[in-house]
Amino acid sequence: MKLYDEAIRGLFGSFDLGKARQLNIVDTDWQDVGDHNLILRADMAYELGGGEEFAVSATAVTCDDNLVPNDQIYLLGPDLADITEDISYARIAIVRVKEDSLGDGNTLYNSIRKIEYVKYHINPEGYMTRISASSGREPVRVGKASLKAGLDFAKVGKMFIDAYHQNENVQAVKLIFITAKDVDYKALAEQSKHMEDITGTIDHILKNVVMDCGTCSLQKICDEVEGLRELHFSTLNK
Amino acid sequence: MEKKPIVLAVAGKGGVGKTSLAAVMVKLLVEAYPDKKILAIDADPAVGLSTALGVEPTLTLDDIRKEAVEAAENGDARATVEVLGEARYRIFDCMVEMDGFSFIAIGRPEAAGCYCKINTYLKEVISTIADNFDYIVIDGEAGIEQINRRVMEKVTHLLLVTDSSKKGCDVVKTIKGVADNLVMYDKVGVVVNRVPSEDVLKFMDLGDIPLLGWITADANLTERDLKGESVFYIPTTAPIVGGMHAVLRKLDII
Repeated sequence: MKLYDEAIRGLFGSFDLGKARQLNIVDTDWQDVGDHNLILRADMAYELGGGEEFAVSATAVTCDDNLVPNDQIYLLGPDLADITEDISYARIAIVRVKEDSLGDGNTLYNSIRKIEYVKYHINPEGYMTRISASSGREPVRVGKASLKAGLDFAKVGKMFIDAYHQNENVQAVKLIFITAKDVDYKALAEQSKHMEDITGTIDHILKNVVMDCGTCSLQKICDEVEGLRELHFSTLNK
Repeated sequence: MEKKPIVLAVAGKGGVGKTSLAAVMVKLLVEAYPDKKILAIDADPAVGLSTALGVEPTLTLDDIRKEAVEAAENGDARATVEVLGEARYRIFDCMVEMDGFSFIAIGRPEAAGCYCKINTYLKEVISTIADNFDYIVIDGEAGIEQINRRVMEKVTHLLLVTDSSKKGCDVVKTIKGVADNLVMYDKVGVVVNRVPSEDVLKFMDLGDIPLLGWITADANLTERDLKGESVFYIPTTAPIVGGMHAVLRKLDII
């Protein structure tokens, strides 16, 4: 399972993880409010990725324990309590799974999406994530009351990590929150799009048995990503 | 324990003043509960609640519904969780957040005649976001279609509005008959609007529907309607404000 490994390295190359703080992972009893997570503007302190700001989200899967040695939460930039206005934001989740645990064919695609869709089911109180798959945006409204009550990225991160671990194939998660101003969010967004393209191409390969790669609009992705071509031809041979 | 919102909806014949009553309900709720979350939904394709509340929406539910349909037709096949996520994302783009209340308009579909699709979408939207609000006021379209399509399924308080005409009374009785089967309301009742005098009430046949209140015709309100003024500027002494205050008290809402 190396489909995303090069893309992950590319993503790490677009910001300096060395400047990020590693947050302690401690148990939290911060409430997940499920569908009752509405934060109106009157109750909002600010919006991460609000308005014209970048709101990047990226999820990738790997089996490489060099990329994800254990559960880790990093923060590059100010924590929630130190932010005072809408700023650009990114949330990156690199999820390490057991080798060969995700299956092949449609099972592989569905397993990857299942890991990605964890983000739709995390609703920390005072942290309202809005997710647009079509625009690749994931802005977050942060509530005033929850900030006063001590909401921070360590708590949010722990809730994400716990949710990923609900999947028995997940071994470790590297979660990176980025709020720093001097980060190239455009490059991050492009890397995120590339990861989404890889997942989309897996689906395309499985649904469309194209014999002539020269006619396929996703050939460029297949050429770039180690493992995709192999997946394609193993599908053709079945 | 799961919080359930109070969902008030007005329904009735066209032209009986439903929109003004819905707008005044929003005003009274905002004044009574400044710390509660209140949502006003203009579910009438004829549009009018936005003007009555002084809101200028730039995007409607029908706009985002059409976007979703176009994306699907262009081959953008998404999983259900993504489609729902997208809808929740876009709802905030068409929700106008005012002081004290939020507002959504369903808009006016371009295709003439059939509002089935937008009514179905409206029902889903109400289901998706309703539980996040304490009070929801829905200004329904005239007639029975939204009741039939179960758009009002989550309504807890159904206010049937009529004037003193026989036709108006017949329409609210018909709506009540259908709603008894399709709406899970807690309370239902009639508000008689624009009555020339209280004496008229005894000649009206409202069947078995309880009378919640009546409101006398008000020339000042007609003038304000003509000018398109917000109900927030209507004086508290106006008959419509006093009348709706009494209705909400009778319903134990305020």
